Amino acid sequence: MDRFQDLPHDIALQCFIRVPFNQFHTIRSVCKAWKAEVHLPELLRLRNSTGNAQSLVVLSQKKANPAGKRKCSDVPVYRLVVLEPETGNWSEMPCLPEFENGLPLFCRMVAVGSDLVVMGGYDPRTWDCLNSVFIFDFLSSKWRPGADMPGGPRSFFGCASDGDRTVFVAGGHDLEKNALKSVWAYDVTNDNWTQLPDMAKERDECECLFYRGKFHVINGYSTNMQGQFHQSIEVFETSARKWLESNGVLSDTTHPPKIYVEGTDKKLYTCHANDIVVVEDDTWRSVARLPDEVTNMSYLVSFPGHLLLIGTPKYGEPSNAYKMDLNERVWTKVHVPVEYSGHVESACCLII
Amino acid sequence: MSYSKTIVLTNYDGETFVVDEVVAVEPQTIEHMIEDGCANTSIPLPNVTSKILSKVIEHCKKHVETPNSNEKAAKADLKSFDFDFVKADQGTLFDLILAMNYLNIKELLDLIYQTVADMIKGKTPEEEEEMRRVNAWVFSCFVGVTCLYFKSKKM
Repeated sequence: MDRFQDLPHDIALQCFIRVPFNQFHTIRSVCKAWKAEVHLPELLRLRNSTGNAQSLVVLSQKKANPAGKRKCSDVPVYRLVVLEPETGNWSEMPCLPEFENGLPLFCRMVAVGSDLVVMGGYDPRTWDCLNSVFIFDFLSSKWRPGADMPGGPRSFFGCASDGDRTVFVAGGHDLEKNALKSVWAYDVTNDNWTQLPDMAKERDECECLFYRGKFHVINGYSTNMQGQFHQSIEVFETSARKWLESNGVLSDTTHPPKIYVEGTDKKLYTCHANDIVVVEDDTWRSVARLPDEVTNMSYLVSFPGHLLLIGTPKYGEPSNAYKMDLNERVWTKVHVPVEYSGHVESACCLII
Repeated sequence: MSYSKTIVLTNYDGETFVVDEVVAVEPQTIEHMIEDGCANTSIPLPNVTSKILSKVIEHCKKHVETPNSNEKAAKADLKSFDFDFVKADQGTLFDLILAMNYLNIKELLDLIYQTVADMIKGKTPEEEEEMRRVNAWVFSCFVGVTCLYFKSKKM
């Protein structure tokens, strides 16, 4: 490969955009110049514009117990798994540093550009509530620690990414199980946190998403209404740094908590009863019936042109996966090998 | 503008190649030169050696001669030709890339980019076996096969 190191920049780039994401470390290991090339924003831009970009769905998934070794007292072990929904390839990600024996339980994760940010959760060894932040850079295939979440330990919060460089964290509860109104923004590039104005309501176990460029916090419950979700929504306008009154259809849905996703068609989807529903003309409309094998939905995630749905036929059974084309609105089954059929706690999508 | 039936290409070594015009216009650069009327005598290609130029001509010829049909056999034949075409040593591939880039043959460029990408991401099992043999002393390391291969080349 020594001669190839002398390739002009634009030609080398043309070769790199055709290399699969999980081989970027090989490019990086060849020489210093190539190492730098991998981190140029141009590489991801070009992969996108030439149709070479890959969608990666990262799942936090329970490790299947070896048959016959299950005990009731076992703490479930979660790990991070990557599914390439276009090809159906599955692989396990490197362990979180210091968490070789399992991912923090109920940790939150979001994708920010080519980074995966994993926040909070409970230490599976001690059940301590964590405020740690870890970032996995898919370009270098390496973990790095981020600045801790400020404002004390917080769990069951909602979070969402603007897709560019900022993660927003809202609600959840503190160590005394007090539901929180506070909201923080984490700048992944600069590794710093900024406090945002509080929400009007306390929101434990709220859902968060970025929809039409605004940070939405959906539902949740207050300290004195444990587990009784209020159906309401607050919307944060990031440019004006203020909360807006919510209006309309989003707060109409019943039976929270739910998973809301913005499709790449810019429409809002969720799952209601046994249907995928979408907001069209300010009302929820049914899009498609859930396939029988996933009626007990674990997670819904959006990737270019599609939704990916992971679920089981009944509680406790192995996971299945289906993807739905947003135009055709037809389901295609995604093969799930046995070792990747554990329960899925959460998921997010990156485009590399 | 009048087209001659054959075009003369002069390469880096001063050698001349006489090729049919239909073959010569495969590379966009040459097509543009002909359109601009630079092809009265011969087309100078100072960046390309005769070894590479004859390979390029061979490729263009094959692609022109293969009937442009949806016929499976023809497609498969072209595919296997392309496959063999890029089975070259690194030095040749390197020169080919630069020549393709200069001559601007879109199809062939895509093929070669992909070949280099494949070289980066890994080898065929036979090649990996060969590397394992050559690099036996370093192979026990956990680093990927390919990057070891690259590094050992540099030592």
